[in-house]
Amino acid sequence: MAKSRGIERRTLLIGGAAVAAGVLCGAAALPLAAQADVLRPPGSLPEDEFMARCIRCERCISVCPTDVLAPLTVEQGVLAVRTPFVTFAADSCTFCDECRKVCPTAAIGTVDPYQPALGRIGVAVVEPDRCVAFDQAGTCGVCVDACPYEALSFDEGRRPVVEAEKCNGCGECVKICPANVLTSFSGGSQRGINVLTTKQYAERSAS
Amino acid sequence: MNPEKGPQQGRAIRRARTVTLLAVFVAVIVSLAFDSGLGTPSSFGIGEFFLLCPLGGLEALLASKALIPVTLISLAVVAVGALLLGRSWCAWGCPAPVIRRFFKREPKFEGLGSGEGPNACAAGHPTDALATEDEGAGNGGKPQGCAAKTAVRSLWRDRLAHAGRDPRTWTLVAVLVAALIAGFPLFCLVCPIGLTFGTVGSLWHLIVDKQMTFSVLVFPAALLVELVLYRKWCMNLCPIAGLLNLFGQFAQFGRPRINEATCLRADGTPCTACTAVCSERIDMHDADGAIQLGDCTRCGECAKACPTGSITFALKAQGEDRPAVAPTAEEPVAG
Repeated sequence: MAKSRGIERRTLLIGGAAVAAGVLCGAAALPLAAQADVLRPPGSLPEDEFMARCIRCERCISVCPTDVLAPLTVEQGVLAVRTPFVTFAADSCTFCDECRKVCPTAAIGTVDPYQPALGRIGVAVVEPDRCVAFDQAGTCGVCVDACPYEALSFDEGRRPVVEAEKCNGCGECVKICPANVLTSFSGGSQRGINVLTTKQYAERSAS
Repeated sequence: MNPEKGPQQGRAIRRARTVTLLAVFVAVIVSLAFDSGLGTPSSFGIGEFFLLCPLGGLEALLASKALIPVTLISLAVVAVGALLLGRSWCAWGCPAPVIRRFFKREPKFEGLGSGEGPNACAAGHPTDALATEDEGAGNGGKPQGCAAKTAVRSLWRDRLAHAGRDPRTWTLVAVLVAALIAGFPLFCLVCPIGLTFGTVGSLWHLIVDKQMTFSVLVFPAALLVELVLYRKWCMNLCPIAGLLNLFGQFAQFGRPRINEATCLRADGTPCTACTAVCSERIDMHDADGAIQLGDCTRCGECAKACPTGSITFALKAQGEDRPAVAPTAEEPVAG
């Protein structure tokens, strides 16, 4: 049995080293876990919970019928790479619920698009230096017409205003905003209206 | 018995494996193209019916410190599959062996017992080897007399000892501890399967959405470091293999069997053809061959390589006809 005890000792040593390695790696990654500040799929759990559950299977990305979900790239965050984020470059979110249904770890929950206070993708914010209507009043208002949730209206100068409590961040206004194209001669690729994360929105409102 | 049957079967299994792996890649791309949500091997299915990576699922449960019902259900189904088919995933679904083979970086065969240091009995007479193997290497079996005490307790002890000797068991432990401490599935970041389909996805987004990102370069680079630069990932490090090995001990379906009458070892020829091509370096002739077969990936290479065609695969689990030089060395395991 001397030999078998030798194996036991070796096993204990390797086991201890493995646990120590796990603790070390885990502790090193701990402060960096929930750092990505990006738009998550509708109904996503709070960022730390979302990161705890997402196994980067990209199933939500593959099921999204409007293709607004994409995997985070290494540039956007090494530790959050391949987790899903929402981009409105080509289309908007219809709250079809498909991403929630296919998530194998329930990192995405239900959301009522008419109750943004209970959960939203983000909040749309008009960029005065990019919006065409701010440049020449009355020339554009496509976003106001496009908003499916009547969260956009005109102010007295016929410039778009977002009612944050109605906005769920669906991105329809971003998708339709022509500022990117209309002002392309002056450079820049930003649109006149963008959806910010709730964190970014809070920071912008505070400043 | 037809001596060509084994190699034929081995070749057929290799073909079938290529087809299944191709089907996996096609499914991933179809899923991206048609928004069908089939997903990737990390989680795949139709709508709300899906399976998920058992390691990713466990990591998510530990990291979130929550019992997620959908995850638990899927994990239970995957566990049943693993109990039936063991490590089959590794040869049939995982892209890692194919990537390594493409770069011709398959680990070299270093003789019997390579995983556990030199084995003095490697080239010896098999009959002697069986009797003395336990002195030769840590990997070796027990003396016949000891193994003949077919108590359930000893079988469990052997299984535990086998898992304890396997470094992948400990990678698994490290990975689960890391997920628990970090609060997110850390291993998913470096998982070769994730990186492979991450590469496929990023290439897709590059070509279709014109999304320029360094992911296209970083993912395959990491993959090459893991699989090509370090050629023993599957053998020494993969925690998924470590996890499936634990189930593989109970998986009696689809294991290879040796026809002792035609095997060269029967007349003392020190043939190691089957072990040399085995990705797990399983020595079916060893006294603890049945325990070692818990790591079998059902790749069929041994059947293909056997010079006398003495190895065949049977889908059905068979108690008495299991591979072992000495049938008394193991008790029939109730399935």
